[in-house]
Amino acid sequence: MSKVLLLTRREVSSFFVSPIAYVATALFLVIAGFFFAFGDFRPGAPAAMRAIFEVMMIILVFIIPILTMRSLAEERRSGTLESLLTAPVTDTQVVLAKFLGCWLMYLFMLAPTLLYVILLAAYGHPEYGPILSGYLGLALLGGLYVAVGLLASSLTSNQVISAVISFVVLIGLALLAPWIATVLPSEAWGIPLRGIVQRTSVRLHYADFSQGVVDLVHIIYFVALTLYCLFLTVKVLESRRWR
Amino acid sequence: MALEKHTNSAVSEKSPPAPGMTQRQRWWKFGPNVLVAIALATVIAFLGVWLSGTLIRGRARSDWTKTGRFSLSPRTKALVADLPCDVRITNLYIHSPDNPQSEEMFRRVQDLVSQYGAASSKVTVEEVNPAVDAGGVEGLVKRLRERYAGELEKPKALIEDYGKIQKDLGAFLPAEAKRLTQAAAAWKDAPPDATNALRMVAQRWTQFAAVGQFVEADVTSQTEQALPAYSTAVARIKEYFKQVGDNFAAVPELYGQLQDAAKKAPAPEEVNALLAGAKTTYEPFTKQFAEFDKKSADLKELELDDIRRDISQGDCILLESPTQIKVVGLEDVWVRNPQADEQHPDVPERLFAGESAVSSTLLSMCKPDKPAVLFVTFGAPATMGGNPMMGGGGGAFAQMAARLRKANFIVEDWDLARSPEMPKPEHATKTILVFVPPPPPNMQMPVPPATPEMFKPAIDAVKAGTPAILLADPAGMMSPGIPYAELFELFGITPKTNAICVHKVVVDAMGNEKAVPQIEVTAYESSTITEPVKGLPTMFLAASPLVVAKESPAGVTDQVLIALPVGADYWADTNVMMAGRGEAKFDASEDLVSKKGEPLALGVAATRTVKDAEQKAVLFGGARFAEDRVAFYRDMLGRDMFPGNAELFVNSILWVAGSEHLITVSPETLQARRLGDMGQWVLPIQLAVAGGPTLLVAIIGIIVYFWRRR
Repeated sequence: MSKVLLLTRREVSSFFVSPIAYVATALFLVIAGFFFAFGDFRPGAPAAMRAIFEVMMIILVFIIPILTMRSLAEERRSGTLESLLTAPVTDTQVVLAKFLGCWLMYLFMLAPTLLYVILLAAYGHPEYGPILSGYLGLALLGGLYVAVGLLASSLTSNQVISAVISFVVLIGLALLAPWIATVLPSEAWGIPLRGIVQRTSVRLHYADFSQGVVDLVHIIYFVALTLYCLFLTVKVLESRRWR
Repeated sequence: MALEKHTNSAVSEKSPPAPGMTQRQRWWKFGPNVLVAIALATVIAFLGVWLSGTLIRGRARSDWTKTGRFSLSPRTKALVADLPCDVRITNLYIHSPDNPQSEEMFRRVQDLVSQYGAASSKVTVEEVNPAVDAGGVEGLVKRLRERYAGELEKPKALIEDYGKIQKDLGAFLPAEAKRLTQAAAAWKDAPPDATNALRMVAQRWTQFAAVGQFVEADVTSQTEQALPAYSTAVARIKEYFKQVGDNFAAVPELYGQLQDAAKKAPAPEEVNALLAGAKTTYEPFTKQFAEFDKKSADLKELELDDIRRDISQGDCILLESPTQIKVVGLEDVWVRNPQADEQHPDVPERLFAGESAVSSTLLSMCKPDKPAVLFVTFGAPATMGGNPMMGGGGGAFAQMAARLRKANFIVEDWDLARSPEMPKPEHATKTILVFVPPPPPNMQMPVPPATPEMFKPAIDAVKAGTPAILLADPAGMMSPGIPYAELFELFGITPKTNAICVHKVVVDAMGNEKAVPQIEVTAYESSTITEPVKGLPTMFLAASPLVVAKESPAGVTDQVLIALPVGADYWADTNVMMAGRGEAKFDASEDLVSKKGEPLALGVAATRTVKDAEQKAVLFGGARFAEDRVAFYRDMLGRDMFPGNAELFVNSILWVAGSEHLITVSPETLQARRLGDMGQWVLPIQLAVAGGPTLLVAIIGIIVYFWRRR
């Protein structure tokens, strides 16, 4: 565990000295800030963050791949991955550390949005429960997005390709799945195709958090998919030795 | 040594495959293992997600909203745990995977009713999708028919009677038409009017025979459907019998005229016989029609018909207790969202209010005893029975009364101009009086002036300890003042009805200002009543200020709920006429202002000790804030403009009724909590929010960049 923490610290430190983290954070904050300021933060608007939470689900599809694209791809391109993999740490520890590093960086990126809560409290009487559950949802969502990004980053040494793969997968999970579900037949070969696609949709599981409901089913979904992506990432790393 | 061991193990774990193996061999050796592992992980992840969604969805969830919008409130849990009878709740939402929205709505309702089932063993929950679940529908229909078997006996007997009459009538009408046609043909020398009349009657009977067949088919279809519509069928029969009966009744007179004609132009024997036998021919039928009409006269609107109608509208919840069945419709469960408009497509059109709808229905089914709210009026209805001549259905508080009924109150008017006796509603556990200012004089409907003497019975009731809501009203030409002002004094409050609260606002682009008699508040003093309402806009229209006595009368405690805001833009103008027209000008020598520590109140909660018991009352400076036209005022987009009004009024009544534990804000309204006015700071704050954190992060990034380059 200490090795994971050590690697995580190294990962987080590398983020703070890398311009890409600041660019991604600034980009995220300007988009989210714009939507919040001119969408939600108007006199007479509901004193809630539900709308901005929904928007963030989409913004993050584009921001998180920027954060994760370099984590393994860059190491692979520069050759540092080899030395990391020959160090006395397991592939799982490497992947976990990379994941935690990116995820903590993501949480750091979210932190300034607490300003929105302060503003709502100053000018209205928001319900704090749904805000808290919304942030919990964002944390879990971020975990999944980061895991997808890491998996994409492990597949290639090209950062751009890694980001594009992440975009495509995340767009499919977050945005296209509900639409695909509507065009699919409800059942094919005895398999409830539509139900399956519906249940894999991020939106379905994320929406409850933003309105104040924390359902164990949704937590299982995010945790299970995150672990699954991390498992695949470990397998991709391992495969370098026998491919 | 330990390091060496560790390094060895790490190397062996990560060591490359045996040298000398080709890539193909390596793929064959390791590939299948990895594929199996990935497949296994995929299956586990998929099963985890799928099974959790199927098995525990809605059962392991935590609701983090303040009012528990997504879980049963303590109030409902207490109600359900204390149910005196078994209740079956059936979710009748039509849903299909082809329509994800219908699935979502169904799921939400099912989650809710499942929670009712989990909260009490007396509640049975089932779901029947009317679109596909034929067995479920059949079972439901069978249950309903068995339940209403007694109620259906009478209409069933009526339908049987109809069958017999219709059988005779169906045979009689064509035969009689034929007989009439033959008679007209046989009467060779008849005046043309006479034969025309016979032919016309024959034609009418032929038409009635045809109509009778249609009616018979209609009655059959209405009574033979799964849930028979007996009321509709009986009404259709009565209409038909009336038409035929009216015509039959006119026949003897017509035939009498023809008999007169026959004296001048002798008619054959069969014609004379026909004309002479009018009464004996038609009277048996008219008697049967009259008897049918008499039997069906006391047939009440069937409960099953109501239920059938409600169910046939689709998407509803059916609640069955041993004594009653009620249907909770879509409009009650999914209320229209006042916040939804075209500019905000992401805001849902409907909000889920299932719990309040189901719980209030359960309450009305299982707990018939409830508090009564009497609106004390004088010569005009407040909650119901508006005068159609005056262009209205219900009174000024009709919608408010409906809201109170939903909160399980009995609501009635006590019109003192009609009766000094306080109404005693059946099943009322206690009475709360709401004093409504008398209406302005109406030349078309003169009523004696409302005096304190006329209000004495109600005033005495409050003095004796009846909980009350007192609504003041500024005195003016159109308003004679409130005849129950002494009640305010009873609670240590002086209503300044010679003044009206105004707010100076900018009214045009030139910056011109005008003082309008409208006070919109979103800030309230802390109290049980106002706590849930915080942030909701409440509008006080034409309200007088209330002055709280520095030293309350013995046994009285006052608490200001809403104060007139402090500031140069708010005051209570003593020129009521001018202020009412929006022409008020502040006059420091006469007008009243709110001061910190010495506020002018718009609403006060008071308690008073009467014979060792606590009496509660809430006093408001104006009555209009609770009238439907203000409390339920919607803008052109249909948004509820002042959701605080109704909540404040209902919460006040709950408080005086001693039901503080039920004080809350309705889920749909809670979502209408809005941001207050930010004045001129809106744009700067918006720009700061959008750009501030970004700029900060960018600056830090640049500093880090140059620091690293150094």
